[in-house]
Amino acid sequence: MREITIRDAIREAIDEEMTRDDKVFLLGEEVAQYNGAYKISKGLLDKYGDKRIIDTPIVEGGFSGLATGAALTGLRPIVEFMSFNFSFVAFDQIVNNAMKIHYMSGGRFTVPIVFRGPNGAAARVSCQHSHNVEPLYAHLPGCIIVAPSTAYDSKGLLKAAIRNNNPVFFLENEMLYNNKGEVPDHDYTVEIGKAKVLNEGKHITLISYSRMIYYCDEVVQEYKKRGIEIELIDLRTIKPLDVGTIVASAKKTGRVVVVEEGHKYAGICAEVISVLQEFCLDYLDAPIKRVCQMETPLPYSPPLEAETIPNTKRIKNAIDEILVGVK
Amino acid sequence: MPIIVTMPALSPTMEEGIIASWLKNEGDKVSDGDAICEIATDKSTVEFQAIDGGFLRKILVPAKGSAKVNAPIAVITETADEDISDLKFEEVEEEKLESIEEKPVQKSTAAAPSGAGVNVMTFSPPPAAEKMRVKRKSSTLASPLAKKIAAEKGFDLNVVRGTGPNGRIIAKDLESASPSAFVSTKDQDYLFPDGSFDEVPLTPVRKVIGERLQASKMSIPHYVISQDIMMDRIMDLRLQLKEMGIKVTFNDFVLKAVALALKKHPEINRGFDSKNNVLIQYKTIDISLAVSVPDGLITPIIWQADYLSLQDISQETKRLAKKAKEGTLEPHEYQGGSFTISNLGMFGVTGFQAVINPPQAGILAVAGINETAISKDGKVSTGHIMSLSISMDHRVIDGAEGAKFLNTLKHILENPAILIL
Repeated sequence: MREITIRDAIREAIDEEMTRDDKVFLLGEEVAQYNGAYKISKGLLDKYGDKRIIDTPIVEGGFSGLATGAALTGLRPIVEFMSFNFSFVAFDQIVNNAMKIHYMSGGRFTVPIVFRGPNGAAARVSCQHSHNVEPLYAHLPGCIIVAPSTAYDSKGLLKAAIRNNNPVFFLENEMLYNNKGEVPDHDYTVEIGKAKVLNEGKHITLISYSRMIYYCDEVVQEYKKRGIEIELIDLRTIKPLDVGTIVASAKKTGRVVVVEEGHKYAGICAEVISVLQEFCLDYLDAPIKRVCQMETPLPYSPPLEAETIPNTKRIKNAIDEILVGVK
Repeated sequence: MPIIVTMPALSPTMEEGIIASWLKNEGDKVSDGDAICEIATDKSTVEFQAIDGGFLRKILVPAKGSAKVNAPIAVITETADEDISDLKFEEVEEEKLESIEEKPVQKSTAAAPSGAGVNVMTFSPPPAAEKMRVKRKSSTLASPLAKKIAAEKGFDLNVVRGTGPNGRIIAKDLESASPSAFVSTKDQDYLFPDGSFDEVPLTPVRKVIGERLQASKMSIPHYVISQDIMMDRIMDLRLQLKEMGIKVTFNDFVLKAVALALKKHPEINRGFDSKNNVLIQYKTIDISLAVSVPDGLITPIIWQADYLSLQDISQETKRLAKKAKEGTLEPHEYQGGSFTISNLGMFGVTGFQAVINPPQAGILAVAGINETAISKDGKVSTGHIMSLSISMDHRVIDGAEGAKFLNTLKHILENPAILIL
């Protein structure tokens, strides 16, 4: 099968969905003439014209509200945030309008909208440009959040997101744009709300998503050589959580470590662990551990940045702590 | 106007004190600051100083008597013949001071000479300290899965030894049917709640340090003498040497000075064989130097230091310290020695007391050099002082000998030309 980058996979998804459905359009800062800050929308202006690939002013609150209004009239906007950190400027439009109108209108309106862009830490862009926004939006009802780690899932989940009738946050990661993976030629979608077991194992379950999957996989391969079989699960969708897959794995191994790039307090790990203890307490043979970003704004300094976001050393420490007595 | 002296609160928890002894008699003149009596509490016995001058007219609580905090214990008047007949006080019940001294857990097995309740000295190493453990309220630690399996299979978790974190019983502990795993957990009861602490096993170095110093501190009757040394001349000499390209540390000066002082006072260059109860008179002056290493300390030895020049000492010390830090010292480089120096001067401390390194009978604690105001002949100037404290084994060396040795050391260090002769 052909291998393409995540960057190209995302573009293909937008391109194919725009061809498939003329109600789909893309708007955001620099998406048209500049071909996108990260070249996701390269070539799309030439192909679809400036009615469907729209350069906006630097006014996230404005174009997020505009997109919400467009969605209410039956269009299917894709809003690109140059960085998800900038979505904070549009917080009211996103939270009070896009995420609430379906409910507030008694189900009469749907808001089929995709908010997408790079999320999380990149490389030395400091704390104001490194937020992991998923726990902030996940806390509030009325949205779907997906955060794929591979090219295949990026394309399949984005196509599913565009076809979905709810606000969907599609969280990309700048550090992963050039990662290549197998993507078929034919049209496909990946079902929203399904996690994926990337590696089967019996000793411990490791749950993560997005960029952290690559750190986790490194640990999985290292422990494999030592005879420790780690079950690695990529959540892919953060909300709604695939409770069935993670609970089945936790019941099988009795030991779980959850890894999240963002901060620890009230993060996605907290939610995953809460669900696990609720459904499989009697199957747990050890406390569930989490590895998250340290409780500090992300420093600019490269060594401090590397220590603040989760790394393989911290993931291994967490695993070792609860493998005492087993291996 | 009579002044009523009351029992002071000598600690936040003190409710009552006992007059150990009166240092002044009724009728004696008292100046402010004079110690008038000694007061014993459950923690210590301290001198009580008068705040007001005058005459001690009446002792209300006799020696060995007790009084509650703030209760009157004596009357002081400004003049010797002031009338105090109007003053009325309640009778104070007498209480024997011995009642406090009998508190030590271990009762003396033979009559101590002074009648005080001190333990009779034993030369054998003292017993190991009690383990800090008490019964635990909570039940045996087990993971939820282990509890589930135990319930299904009818295991008694109380007799299974847990191998998980904090000794938690995990599922694997129940898989093994071997009876050896099913041992009592009674001896694993902790004083603190589980999970609130980690047990860190002793490294071999820590174990040796612990055993030796515990035995030393518990069996050797330590006493400490301190002396301030004027360091300005040594600092000047060191600077002169430095300008000549010779680098010598303050520790090198002290080490050389100790070697010379020990030569003059061989009665300090001694040890004690606590197995056979004999004094050891060392024939050579071999100085152990406490060197801090990761997770502990070690005492490499400058052999026959009295025969070495300042520069030899400097080089040898540097060599040994380097090997100590690298962990490559040979046993012959740290086993033995006749006297130890422990130097915390680099941390700028103003003084400390060291624990004797047995079987040696003496150790010198070297503090940092600090600039201070010095009063001499009624004039105040500034200078640099360093505090030296020797801890001595009283079985071997009495206070007067220790003091003479320390004075010799002071003389040498304050006249450092001796060191380069």
